[in-house]
Amino acid sequence: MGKYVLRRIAYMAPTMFAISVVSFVIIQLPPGDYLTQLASGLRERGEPADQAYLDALSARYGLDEPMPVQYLQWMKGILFHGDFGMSFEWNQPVSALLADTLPFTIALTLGTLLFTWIVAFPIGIYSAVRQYSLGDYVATTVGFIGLAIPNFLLALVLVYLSRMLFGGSFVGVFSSEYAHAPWSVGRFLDLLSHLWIPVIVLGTAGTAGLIRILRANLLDELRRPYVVAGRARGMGERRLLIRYPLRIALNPFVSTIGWVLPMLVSGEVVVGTVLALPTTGPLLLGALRSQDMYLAGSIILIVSVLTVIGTLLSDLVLAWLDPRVRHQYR
Amino acid sequence: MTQPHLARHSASPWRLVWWRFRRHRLAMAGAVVLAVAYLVALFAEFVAPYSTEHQQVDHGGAPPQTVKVVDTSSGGWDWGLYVNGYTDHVDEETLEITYEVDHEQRIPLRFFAEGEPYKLFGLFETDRHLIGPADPDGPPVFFLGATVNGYDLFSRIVHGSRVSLTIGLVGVAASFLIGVVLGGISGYFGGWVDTAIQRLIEFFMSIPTLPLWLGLAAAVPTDWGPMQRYFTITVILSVIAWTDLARVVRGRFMALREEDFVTATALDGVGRPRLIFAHMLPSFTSHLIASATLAIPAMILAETALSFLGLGLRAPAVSWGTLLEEAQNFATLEAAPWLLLPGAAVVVIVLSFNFVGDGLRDAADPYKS
Amino acid sequence: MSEEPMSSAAGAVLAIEDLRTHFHTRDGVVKAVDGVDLEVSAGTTLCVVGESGCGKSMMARSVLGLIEPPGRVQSGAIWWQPDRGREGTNLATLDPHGERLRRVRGAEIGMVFQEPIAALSPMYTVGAQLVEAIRLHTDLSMGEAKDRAIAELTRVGIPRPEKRFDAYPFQLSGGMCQRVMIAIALCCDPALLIADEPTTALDVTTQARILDLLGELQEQTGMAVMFITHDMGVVAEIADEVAVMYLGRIVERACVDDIFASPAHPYTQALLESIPSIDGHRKSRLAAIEGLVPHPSDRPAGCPFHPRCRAALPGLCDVEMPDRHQLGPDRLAACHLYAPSVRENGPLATGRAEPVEAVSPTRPGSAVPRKKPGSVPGQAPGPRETTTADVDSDVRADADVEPLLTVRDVRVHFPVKHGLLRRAAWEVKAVAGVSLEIMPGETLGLVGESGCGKSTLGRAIVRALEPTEGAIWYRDGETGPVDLARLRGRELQPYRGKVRMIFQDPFGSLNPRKTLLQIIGEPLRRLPDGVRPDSSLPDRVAEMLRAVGLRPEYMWRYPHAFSGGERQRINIARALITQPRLVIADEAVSALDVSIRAQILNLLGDLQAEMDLTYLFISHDLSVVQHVCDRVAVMHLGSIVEQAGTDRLFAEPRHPYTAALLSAVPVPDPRRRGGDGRIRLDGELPDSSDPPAGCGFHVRCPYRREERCMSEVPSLVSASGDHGVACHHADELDLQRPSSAEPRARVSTGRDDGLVPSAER
Repeated sequence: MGKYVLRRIAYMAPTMFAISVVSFVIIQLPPGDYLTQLASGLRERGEPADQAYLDALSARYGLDEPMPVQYLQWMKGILFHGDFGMSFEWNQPVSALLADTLPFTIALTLGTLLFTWIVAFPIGIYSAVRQYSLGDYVATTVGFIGLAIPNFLLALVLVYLSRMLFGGSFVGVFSSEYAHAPWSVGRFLDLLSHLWIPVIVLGTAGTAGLIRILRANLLDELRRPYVVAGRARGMGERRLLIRYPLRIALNPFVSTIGWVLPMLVSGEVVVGTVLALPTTGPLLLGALRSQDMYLAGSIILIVSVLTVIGTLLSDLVLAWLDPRVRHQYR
Repeated sequence: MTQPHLARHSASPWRLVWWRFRRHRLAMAGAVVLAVAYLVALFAEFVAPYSTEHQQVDHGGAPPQTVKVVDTSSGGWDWGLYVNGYTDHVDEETLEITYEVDHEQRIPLRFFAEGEPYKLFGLFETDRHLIGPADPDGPPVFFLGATVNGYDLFSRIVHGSRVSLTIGLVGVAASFLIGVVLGGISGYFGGWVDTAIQRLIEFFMSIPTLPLWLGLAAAVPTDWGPMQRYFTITVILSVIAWTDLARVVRGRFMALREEDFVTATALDGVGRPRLIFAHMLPSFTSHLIASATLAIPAMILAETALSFLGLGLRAPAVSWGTLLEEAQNFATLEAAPWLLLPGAAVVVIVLSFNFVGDGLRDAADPYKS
Repeated sequence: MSEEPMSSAAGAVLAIEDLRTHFHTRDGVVKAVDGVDLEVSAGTTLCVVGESGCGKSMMARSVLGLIEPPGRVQSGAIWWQPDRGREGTNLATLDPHGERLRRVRGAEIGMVFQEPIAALSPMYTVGAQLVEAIRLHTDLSMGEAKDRAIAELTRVGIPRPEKRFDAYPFQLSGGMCQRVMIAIALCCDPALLIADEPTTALDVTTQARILDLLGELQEQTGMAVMFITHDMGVVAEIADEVAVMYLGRIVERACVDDIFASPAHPYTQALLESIPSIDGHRKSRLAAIEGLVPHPSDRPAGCPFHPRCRAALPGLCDVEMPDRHQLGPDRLAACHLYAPSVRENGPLATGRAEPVEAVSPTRPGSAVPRKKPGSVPGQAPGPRETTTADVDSDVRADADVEPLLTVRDVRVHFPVKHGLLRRAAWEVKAVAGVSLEIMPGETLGLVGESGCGKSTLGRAIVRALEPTEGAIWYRDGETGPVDLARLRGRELQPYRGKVRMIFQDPFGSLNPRKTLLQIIGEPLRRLPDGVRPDSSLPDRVAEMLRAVGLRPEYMWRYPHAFSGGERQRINIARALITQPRLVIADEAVSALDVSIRAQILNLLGDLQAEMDLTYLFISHDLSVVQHVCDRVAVMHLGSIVEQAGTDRLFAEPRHPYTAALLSAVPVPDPRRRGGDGRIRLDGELPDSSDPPAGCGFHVRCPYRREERCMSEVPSLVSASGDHGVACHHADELDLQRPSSAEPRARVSTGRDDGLVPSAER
């Protein structure tokens, strides 16, 4: 097992490297270089472009150097100083902007993952065990629709409906009276009342996908000889289901981290924008629109790396759960 | 042997696939919906009452009109298609326009109505539209309401279907090419080639797609024309979406390599290219078609999301995504909820593709019960 | 039903009455079990025998309520312990999910399945699954249950049970898993054990040991056993009572001696005659049963067997379902031949049928060459009556005939890739240095357990694989010797048509998306010595189809239209259309039912004579090999351990492994059951990626003596004539009668630990 963990971590290194390269390329893609944009950005805001400041930046990020050197400079900054570069749009270090938004993004993503599991688990089992029952048809239909609705549309519809039905604004994370208030029970409840929409919106597609996968896997497992054998030795249906096929059908739940996480992160960009959440999504979008490339590249880098780490964790949990995986890599 | 058995005996594999597919009712329904949708996209100028440029500024944000078949307002039964007109009222202070249905005003409709002239397929000049107001110079009709800028939403959805429906096909075709080639190489040769391609696929799959799409799409120069943008976006979409297909192809190849019939064919003296293209590939084309069908909706959704965020296609190009972009503002949405209707079109099409894909997947291997 | 079935036999634990299990599918009702009456008596073994698709398994599953939708028990009664003073329990009426039936399952009736590894959950250790089974029906604590579990594992002969307790099923061999399944089935001392083809998926040596184990356990516990099998040899080995099933019905019931001595029902007779017996005369035609088992949804009217029955009476058998007729105490047959009316004036007079008294006391695998060939339409050639001796002397006498194929020191190693860079970490030596000669016109058998490398060798010879080392010299009259092992790519083309292969799996070996014309014609279009694609191609294919007993117009059909036996004919047609000299038949009949197998064996024999073919016949089935082969080579762990003329090898095996293989084959003769001199091998084939040092067989050999066996690899020495053997002590061993001289040594030292070497690295 120890060896397996090491090997998985070793596999991760090239992926991480590739991600950093891609992120850097995205930074470099737009025409014109960062400094001219920064200078023009400053000029637009009526601030005089301080040539000395620009030169200092140029030296700091090695902007005169060839691309590979720039890449190394950038990586060096990140790895040794936690310095992701500057955002010219905000005129702040990228790391400071990330520190503001990343925790909430992670919290939202994990919360949605939890929501996905809690909803998909019982429905998936029910759907498989009572195949072709009314409940199965309802779950399957809802699942199909859940996969077909673009999440921004769902967000728009939910906000529209909640406005019509409950009144009030459900956009953002806090109502205006709590927006700048110190933490209190009221503020927390207000936060929760705003969070249900993003969680549902983000979670729907993943939940629908997971229900389908769990149902298909469980149906497969239910037909296996060991289930019949378990029944033949006198196990009760419920106990048999929970101990045998379900244990295997659980695997997709664990591996969901691998594919739901990228999906959630993707969805979060759109949903965060529609619902005006203080997450990395809208920040990324804004950065891309204004070609604030260090910010954009850094967000893509961080989010991708977090996803890769999530995938790694799911693989490790899978190996811990499933003896077949564990023993394959002795 | 009974009759159906006999028919089965001489049936070709594709016929068996078709028989199985036919039994899948949802898939059949999906197939019909898609057929209609693509016909509409093909004859968009004919189906839509107005062109994409036709703007009625004074009708901005007009609500949908209900098509009525019979008019009983005059006491009798007056048959004939018509819609009621509006009376608009401008608030003095806010300058907000509110519309009220005017039951007095009847705008008669007719099929093959005379309207703006256009060239069908760029060949046949005509001014006939499938449906429209009987009087081309009278007040306009808005079946699904008007956009804030006074465009007919129905016409725009019809025109937008061209982009939205084809981007999935073109994108999947492109990713199919990459996927089949790389997956085939990976599956057939194995060894370090396979390992390298596998790593590449794993890498692409672990990256959250949308940020990457956004990053690439943002790098597309803003001054590019609609066609150029369309193809660039398609390429960007397929650069990331090929991984699933490549995995399917590789998996099938791996499984097939072990099959006795492949060994047997090699022993028949069949060379490698023929072995791959004439014997192995046909064994999983049906699986590939199913996978491709299931990949199309993801493409459509991605284009919609990109355009919605303003990083995909941009006006004046019309797609369901750009139409939805107008619905981003909640205030607008409250005043004109029908702006969400392009979203309904997306859902219907994506659902249909999913149903058809599922049906194809189940039918793809006619030899499994 | 005219006559009552046997009055409930004293001590019956299970009595099934008119059981019907039907499956309601989209395409109509499939009557898998359609009126079965059976009793199982306490302490005895009832064997239910029949070909696949006869409803044996469904019948067994019905007993425990294990039928899954869309199937269900339609009608009938399943009386459990009917003679226990009270009425007993009708299992058929119990709720399949109810408490009562759950108590019967496992606690009162145990069940063992065909695929032992699949029947255990891969997520838990075998110990955990055994403990769970114990605790389901007892009040034992965890600790007590574990002690009990280890005791059970010991009882079923699992070495080092404490260690195995913590093993996962996929770490154990099939034989070990089947022992675990037996331990689970028997852990609560059930009164009845239902064993559904428990040894079918296992090697013959493992099968012998599992059968021994079941016998021992039955002796210990006095349980009844319902044993389902398709193998008449196994029936003869273990049965007390036999029930022969055909298309969902019991066609004959009798005690085992009667079944083998004087089978009453034509189906039983035909089944017995279609087995090539280990004692039968070689190269004679087998009495194949005409046609194939129809699908239960296409059940013929009247007696379901009548279309295949050689004694069928027109106007009666195809119209009326036969009643069961009592032929003696405890003997029943469902056949019109035994109806009083028919007996008096019917077939006895015409001599067409042979009711029980008249059955000639022929032994199964009858040597009588049947004049009427297997009956497949278009099967042209007449019977071959060459006897073994002739063939042997033919081949041998001609000393200067050059071998058609000479295999010299061929090795095939597969690298096992491992780690980040996929380097070859170690090698599996599937074929570890084999030399062989195949004479023109002969049939050479290659036998051994699964994993011994016999198929790999076959594939190397046809060059589906590249040999790692060694030479494969091919010579026929036209060309000088060519080393096939050295040829690459196009250079091989000329020989692809001369050395052909018939595959084992009739389903996987035909491309489902090509018509027979395309499949069979492909080699002709590709090979240099085939015809060029012209109009004669369909003619050639048609001719070939006719030769293998299929209708020429089938060439437009796709393989899915054909049954397993027919597909194997297609396979043969594809192999033979190039007019090859040498044909490698790789387990060509192993996937087929006995009656179909006999048809195919007859066909292969006919074609050999007709087309002057040489066969390399690869099989794990010794009785088939003995029936068709002139010479036999025995393979173990990638090497040939013994090679001799068939008669010689079967009469006087000189390698302990050959002797063990031979004694493990169940003989279809109950009178010779449990004969002395049986050799049972401990352990299973060692891992060929890590073969033991010295003689590859020493870890399993009951005669292993000293250091030499463990350090020195024995070479194949031709001791007398053409009898080669690779054993250090071949001259000292007396294997024909090893009974008293050699104690049935079961030295349980290191070799039990070698059971699954891979799990212990």
